[in-house]
Amino acid sequence: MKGSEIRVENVTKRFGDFVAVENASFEIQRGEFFSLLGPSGCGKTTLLRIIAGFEDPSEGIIYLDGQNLIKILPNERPVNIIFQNYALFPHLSVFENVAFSLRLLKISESEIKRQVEKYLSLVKLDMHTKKYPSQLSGGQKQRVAIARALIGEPKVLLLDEPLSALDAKLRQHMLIELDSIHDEVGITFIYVTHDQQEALSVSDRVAIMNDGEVLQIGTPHQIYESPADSFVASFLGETNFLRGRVNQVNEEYAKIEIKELGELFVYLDKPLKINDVVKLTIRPEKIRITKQMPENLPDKFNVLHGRVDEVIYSGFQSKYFVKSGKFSFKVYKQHVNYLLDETPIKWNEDVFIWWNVDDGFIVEVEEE
Amino acid sequence: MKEKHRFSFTMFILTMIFFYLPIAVLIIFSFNEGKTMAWSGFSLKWYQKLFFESEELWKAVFNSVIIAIFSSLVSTAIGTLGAIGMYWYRFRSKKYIQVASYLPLIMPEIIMGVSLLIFFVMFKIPLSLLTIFIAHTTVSIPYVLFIVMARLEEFDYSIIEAAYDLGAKEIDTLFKVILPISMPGIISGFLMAVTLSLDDFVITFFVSGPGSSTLPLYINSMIRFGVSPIINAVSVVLIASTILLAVSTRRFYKYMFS
Amino acid sequence: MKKNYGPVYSLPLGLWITIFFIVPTCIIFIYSFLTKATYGGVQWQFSLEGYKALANTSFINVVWITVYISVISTFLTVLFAIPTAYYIARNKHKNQLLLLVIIPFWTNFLIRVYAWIAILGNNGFVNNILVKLGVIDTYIQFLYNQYAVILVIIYTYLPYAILPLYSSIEKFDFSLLEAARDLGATKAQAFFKVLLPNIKGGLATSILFTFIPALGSYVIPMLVGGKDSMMLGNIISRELTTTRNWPLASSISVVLTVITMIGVLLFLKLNKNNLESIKKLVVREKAGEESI
Ligand SMILES: Nc1ncnc2c1ncn2[C@@H]1O[C@H](COP(=O)(O)OP(=O)(O)OP(=O)(O)O)[C@@H](O)[C@H]1O
Ligand SMILES: [Mg+2]
Repeated sequence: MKGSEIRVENVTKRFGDFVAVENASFEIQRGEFFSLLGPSGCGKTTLLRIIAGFEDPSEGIIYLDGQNLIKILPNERPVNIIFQNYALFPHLSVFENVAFSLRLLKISESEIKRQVEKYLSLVKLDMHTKKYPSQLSGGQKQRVAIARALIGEPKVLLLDEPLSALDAKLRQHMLIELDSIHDEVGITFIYVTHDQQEALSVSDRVAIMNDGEVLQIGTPHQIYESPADSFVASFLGETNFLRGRVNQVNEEYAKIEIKELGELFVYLDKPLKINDVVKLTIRPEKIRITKQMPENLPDKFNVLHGRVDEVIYSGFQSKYFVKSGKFSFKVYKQHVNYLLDETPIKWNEDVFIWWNVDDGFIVEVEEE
Repeated sequence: MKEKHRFSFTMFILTMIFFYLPIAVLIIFSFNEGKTMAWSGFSLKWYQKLFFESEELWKAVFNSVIIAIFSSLVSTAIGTLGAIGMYWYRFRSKKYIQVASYLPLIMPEIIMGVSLLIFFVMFKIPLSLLTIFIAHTTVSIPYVLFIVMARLEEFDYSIIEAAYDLGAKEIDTLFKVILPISMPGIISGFLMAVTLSLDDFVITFFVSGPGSSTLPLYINSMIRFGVSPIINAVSVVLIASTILLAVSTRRFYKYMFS
Repeated sequence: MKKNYGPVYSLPLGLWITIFFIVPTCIIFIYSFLTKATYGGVQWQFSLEGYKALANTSFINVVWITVYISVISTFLTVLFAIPTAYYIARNKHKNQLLLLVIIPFWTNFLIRVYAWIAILGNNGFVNNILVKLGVIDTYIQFLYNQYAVILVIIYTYLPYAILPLYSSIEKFDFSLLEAARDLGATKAQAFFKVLLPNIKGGLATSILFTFIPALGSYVIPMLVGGKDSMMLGNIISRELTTTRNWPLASSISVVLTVITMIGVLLFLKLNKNNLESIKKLVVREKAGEESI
C-alpha cells in the first residue's frame, strides 16, 4: 500500500466562541476510502483543512504514520487536497496546472512531460492539455484538479465535496471514476460530502458528523443498518421513528409498548431495562405491505393494521403513507414485477404492514 | 428619440463646445506666425523652437519621465505587496494601515504638499528630485493598492492554498500564482501611477528644489510669463501624446487580457 | 501549520504611508500649536497664535469665499453634468461619446487652466477678436476675479462629475421613466420622482468629486483669480513661502482639512456608505480612464 494511515486525536477547532469541530478522534487505515459525511456547516471542511494544514486545531493532534503533522507547513505535508471549487490556476494551461508541483522541483522537462501525460491519461484528459481552465467544463476542471493533486504522489488525498458543482448524471459518473482512480493509485482518500448516496456507495468507511461532533464511524452497511442515534438514522435515508416504553426484555428482544398503537418487538442491540423510554426506528423499505393478513408468520415479525393515506408512484417503487393508530408509517415497495406482483394497493385501502423484528433498532434510550 | 432628448442634447453640445473650444484655440494658435493671440499666418516656427531651442523644457521633461518611472515602479511594488497582505490576511495593524491608506485619497493636494515640505525641511532632506520622487510615490500608492485589491477580489483564496498544498513555498506562490493573476491590476496601477506623476503640479511645486524642475513646473513658470505660443505647441504635443498613449495602452490591454 | 504573511507583505506599505503621510500630517498638526521663528520655521514652544490669528474678519472672509466658490462651482458643474451624462448614457454610440469626455480629462491640468488664459486673458483670443471687430478699443479684463475661478473650476472638474453620473444613469432602467410617464407624470415629475432617486449614488459621488478638490483649489485661483478670490490654498501657500509663518500655515491647513472632512462626512451621510465606498469610487473613477 502506498497510502498512509491518519490518526486524528481529540481535535477541537474553535472560531472565537463558536466550536466548529469538537473533540474528534478517529483513525483512517492505509489506502482506505474514508468519507466524512454530514449536513452543511457541521465542520467537515474545517476538519479537512486541519488535516491539510490550512487551519491549526485549537486542541488535539493529527498523526500521519505516527508522525505529528501539526507543526508541518501545508506545502511540506504529503497530503494534497481537491477544493470544492477546484481552485485551478486561471493563468496556466491544463498541462501547466498539472505540472505545477513538478516545476517546483528540479525535474527535467522530458520527465515532467511524461508524468503529466501519465496523470492526464489517468483522468482521461489527454485531449485538452493546451486549454485554459476557463475553457473547460465542470467535469473537465474536476479531472484537472484530480490529476494536479495526484501527480505529486501524495500519501493522502483530501477531497472536499469534489462533485457538488456537477450535475446529477455527471456526478454519478465521476464518482465511479474516482473509485477506480482510488483503486489504481492505492493511496488513502478522505472524502468530504453531504450527500449520503455518494458516501455510502464508494466508501470503505464513513464518519457521520453533526454540529462539529463525529457521531458514528463504520462501514456504509453498519451505519445504515445500525445507526448509532436518531440523527444518523434520519440523516442516512428515510426512516420511521416510534417512541415507547419498554415493558418486557428477554435475551434477544425487547417488547415496547407504544401508546395508541400497541406492542412491538425490537432487536435488543443495547442494554435496556424495564420502563426505559426508547426511540426506535424502522426503515421504510424494510416494511412490507399487503392487503391480506400475512399467514404463517413466525413470532419474529411485527404486524400492524392500517389504512393507506397516500400513494406516490415513482416508477421503480411506490411510496405509501399508512396510517395506523395515530401514526403514519412510510413504506417503500419495490416493483420487481409490477403487474404480476398482486393487485396494486390503492389509496384508502385497508392494509397490513409487517417487518422482521431484527430490522428495527433502538436509537435513543432515556432511562427512568 | 431625438425629439425626446432635445434638452439633454443641447446641454451635451454645449458641454462639448465648452470642453473643446479652448483646446481648439490652443491647437490653432500653436501654428500662428505671430507671438500673440491674433492670427497672423501659418507657421511651424513654435514647434521648431519647442523641439530644437528649448533645452530647459526638455530637461524638465526628462526629469518628469525619470520621476514618473521610478515613483511608479516603487509605488506599484509597495502597493501590490500591500494589497496582497491586506486583502487575504488578518493582523493587528491592518485596520490602521487600511485607514492610513484611504486618507491620501481624500486629503487636499495642497495639504499633502505643505506637510511633506515641512517634513523634509524638519528632517533636513534637501529638496530635489528625490523629494519629488517620495511625494509622487506617496500619492500613487493608495491608487495602486486599491486597483490591485480590486483585481484580487476576483479570486478565491483557495487558489493560493492550492499552491501551498502542491508544495509551493511562499516565494513560489508569490511569483508563480499571485503576481501572474494580479498582473492586469498591477499594470493598470502602474499606468495610473505614471499618469498621476506626470500630471502632478501642486505637490511637486512645494517639494521641488532648485534644478529639479518637472514639466508641469516648467509649464507653470512659462504661464506666469504670460501667453506664449510655445506653450500652445507644448499643449498640442502633450494632448496628442496622451491620446496616443491612451489608445495604445487600451489596445495593448485588450490584446493582453482578453 | 498556518503561517500569516500578511504583516510581511504589508510592512513596506505601512512604513511608507506612516513615514511619508501620517507623520507629516501629524507634524502639521503639531506645528499649528508652536511659535513662529523669526526666519521661517518654528520654535518648540506651545502657542495658540496660529489659531488666534485666524479669528479675524479677513480670514473668515477667505473661508467664506472658499466655501462659496466651491458650492457655486459644484452646483453649476453638476447642473451641466446631469443632462450631458444622461445624453451619453442614452446614446447608441455611448462609448465614443464617453471618450469625448475623457480626452479633456486626460489633458494636463495646467494646460487646461492655461487654455482659458489664452482665450480670456488681456491679450487673449477673445480680446483680440473684439478689438479687431472694433467692438472695444482696449482689452476687457475677463480674468482675475471670482467668475474666472468658478469657470475654470467647472472646466477642470466637469469630466469628474460626468463619469459617475454616467455610470449610474447607464444602469438605470429607463422603462421606469416610461412607466411613470404612462401613469401621467410630467417630464419634470418623472425626472425628480423616478430618475433622481435612482441615481442618488452617482449624484453624490459627482458632487464629492467636484466639491472636495474645489475646496482645496490652489492653482486655479493663483493663475486666474484676483483679490476677491483668494482661497484657503492660496493663503496657506502665502504663509508658507512668502510670510514664512509656518504655525499659521499649519493652522490654516488644519482648518482646510477639517472642512474637507466635514464635506466627506456629509457625503457619507448622503450616500449611507462607509469609507470603503469612497475608496472604491475614487479608484474606479480614476481607473475608469484606463479601462475605457
Ligand atoms: N474561518 C472561520 N471563522 C469563523 N467561523 C468559521 C470559519 N470557518 C468555518 N466556520 C464555521 O464553522 C462551521 C463549520 O464550517 P465548515 O466549512 O467546516 O462546514 P462544512 O461542514 O464544510 O459545511 P458545507 O457542507 O456547507 O461545506 C460553520 O458554521 C462555519 O460558519
Ligand atoms: Mg465545506
